[in-house]
Amino acid sequence: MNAHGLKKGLLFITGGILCFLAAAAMVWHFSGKVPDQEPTVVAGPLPGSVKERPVETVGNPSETVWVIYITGSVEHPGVYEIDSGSRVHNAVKKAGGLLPDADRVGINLAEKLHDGAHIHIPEVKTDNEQSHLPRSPLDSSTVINTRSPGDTNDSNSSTFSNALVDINIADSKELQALPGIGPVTAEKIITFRQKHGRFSSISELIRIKGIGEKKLEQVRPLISTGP
Amino acid sequence: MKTPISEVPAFFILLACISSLILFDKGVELFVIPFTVTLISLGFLLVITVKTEPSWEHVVLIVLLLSFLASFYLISRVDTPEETGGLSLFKAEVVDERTWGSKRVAILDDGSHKILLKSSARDIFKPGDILEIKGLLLPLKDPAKGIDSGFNEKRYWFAHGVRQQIMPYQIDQKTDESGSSIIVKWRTWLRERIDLSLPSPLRGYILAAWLGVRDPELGNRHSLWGTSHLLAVSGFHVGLIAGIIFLLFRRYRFRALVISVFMWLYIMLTGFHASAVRAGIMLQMVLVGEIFHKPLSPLNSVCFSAALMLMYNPWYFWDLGWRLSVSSVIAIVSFFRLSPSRNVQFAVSPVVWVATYPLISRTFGTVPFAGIIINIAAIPVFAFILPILSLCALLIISDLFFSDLVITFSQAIVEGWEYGCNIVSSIIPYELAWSLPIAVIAVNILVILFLKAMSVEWKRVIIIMSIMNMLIPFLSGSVVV
Repeated sequence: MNAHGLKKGLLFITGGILCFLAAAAMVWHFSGKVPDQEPTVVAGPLPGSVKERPVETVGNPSETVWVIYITGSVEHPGVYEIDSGSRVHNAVKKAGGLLPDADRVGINLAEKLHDGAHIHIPEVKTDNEQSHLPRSPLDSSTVINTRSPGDTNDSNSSTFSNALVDINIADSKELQALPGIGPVTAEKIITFRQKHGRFSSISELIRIKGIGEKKLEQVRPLISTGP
Repeated sequence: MKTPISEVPAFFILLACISSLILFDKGVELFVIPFTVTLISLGFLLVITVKTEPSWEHVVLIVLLLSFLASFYLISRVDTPEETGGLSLFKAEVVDERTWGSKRVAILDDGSHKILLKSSARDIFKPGDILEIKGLLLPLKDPAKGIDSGFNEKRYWFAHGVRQQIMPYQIDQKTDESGSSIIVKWRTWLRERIDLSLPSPLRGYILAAWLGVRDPELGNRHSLWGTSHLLAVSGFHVGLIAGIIFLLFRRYRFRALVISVFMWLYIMLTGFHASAVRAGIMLQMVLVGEIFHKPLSPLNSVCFSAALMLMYNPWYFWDLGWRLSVSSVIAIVSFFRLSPSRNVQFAVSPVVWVATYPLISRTFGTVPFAGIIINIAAIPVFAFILPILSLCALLIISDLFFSDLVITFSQAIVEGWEYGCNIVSSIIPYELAWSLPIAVIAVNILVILFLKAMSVEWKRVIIIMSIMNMLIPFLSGSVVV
């Protein structure tokens, strides 16, 4: 290689290294958009070879009290404070215990909880509105990660932007998304609303034929009467 | 001698794509990423360039512009707001279904979204089933902070087009309705026929090769032998189909077109597995090159197909199938570029073993040494026996004649193969566990192989390797280590 070629080669290498240094400087200066994020490592294993991982405890280990939300077939659904490191059975105990119709096989009472968890205890399916299929054990759905209250949703016709269904404005399809509410009951709610005006409290739903105390308690954590 | 940019221009686009996704993963400000990766591409280009050709500057400008645009596009794709959830009532078709550890998962398609449904092993939903589901729709979550399981489930499902998970209160199967997708119907029909007609282990091999469905038991055995790639639809399978069609139609004028049609039909039937799509794009480029009498560089085809897949679905970058497919085929193509002699072809097995060690050991914990020996025989043996087994399976499924005899014959072939694998793995029962230094060495070997295949001078290779190794602490967590 002649002197010109050598000079050119050296120039290219120097230019290349300068480009790398400039890129490194930009990364250094502008990195940290998500400073606390841990490395998210590698790609996933092939389907079928994945070992199911248990729901891990999240939240700050130094927290001594967690806030959890329990719904479904328990005596007193609602929001509770429990000790950190608790499991599902601790939350159930806090909510007054399981109702007789709770699906004891479909839930894992030993599952670990985390701060902000939403636990839904399913009931054993009996009535004709329920699936004829075997129910999921809710292994992964026993503990439901909470969503931030301000979450909004795309305009998917079947998914509703708020976790709580406003029974004063919800249409039939929105009402049918509630557990135990089918098209007939949904229509009854709408007719009742048209006839008697707004629901002033959730408990008023008991006046709808087809909604008993049990069903009311089941849907209570999922509905509101609006502002 | 051609310059790297004129021979493998797609590499610089691929480099820009990969760099963009790593920087995104590292939380770099989004608007900076396209500029940074363009600088990285330019830096790489300058360091490996020995001499220039006429119009070199124009090619460089075009490649850098494409790198910038590719990066910009990728970042806009991955930086989408997280899907939100809520109470939901929707009707959806089961488009895929598989085992998931001790459970099962179904992928549902409601016409606009793909939704994940996890269920117990006793809930069997078939692809094509229509379900009406009432439940709580939730976004897929990142792994909890501080938990390094080596597996990011959210990104795994993102790579499969799934963005949300449904926690069902109620599932109603619409028995009077079925899905509209012909492919799904075909796959379901074929799977039922295979499940009902073929005995194990023949069934597992045919399910894997025809439909990309993995039999967990067979998968475990192949993991021990280091031959899991035989059960994943890969470039090997796609190449085999293309090869068979080529042999049948080699005298036919429009053979490239016929091969393309059959190849994509096969890829469609297998459910568009990442490795199969990568191989399909690569082979398609070769076929297009044949049509226009302009043979393409295999290295360029690999890089182009890998970059194109990232454009289509950026989340493939975090998919093990995509990574294994790209790294192993880069190793194979680079090896044959450097050592075209048939006498050293047996050495490709250890080369691929080294190239894939970081990914496999990081994900599964260990890599068996037996795989090095078994894979020397595996590809030629399977290239021979897989078409025979497929023919046998066709005869058995159609129940034309001598089904019992055909079953005995095909089972003997499969069991003979497995017997041989068991002997080798009992002679070499050792495994290499995950180790950061060994993984770094393996990555270095792969990169050196690739750079040498691009005819980069040794001193320039050393400069690139030095820079890359200095970046390991930064790359940690995004690539393989």
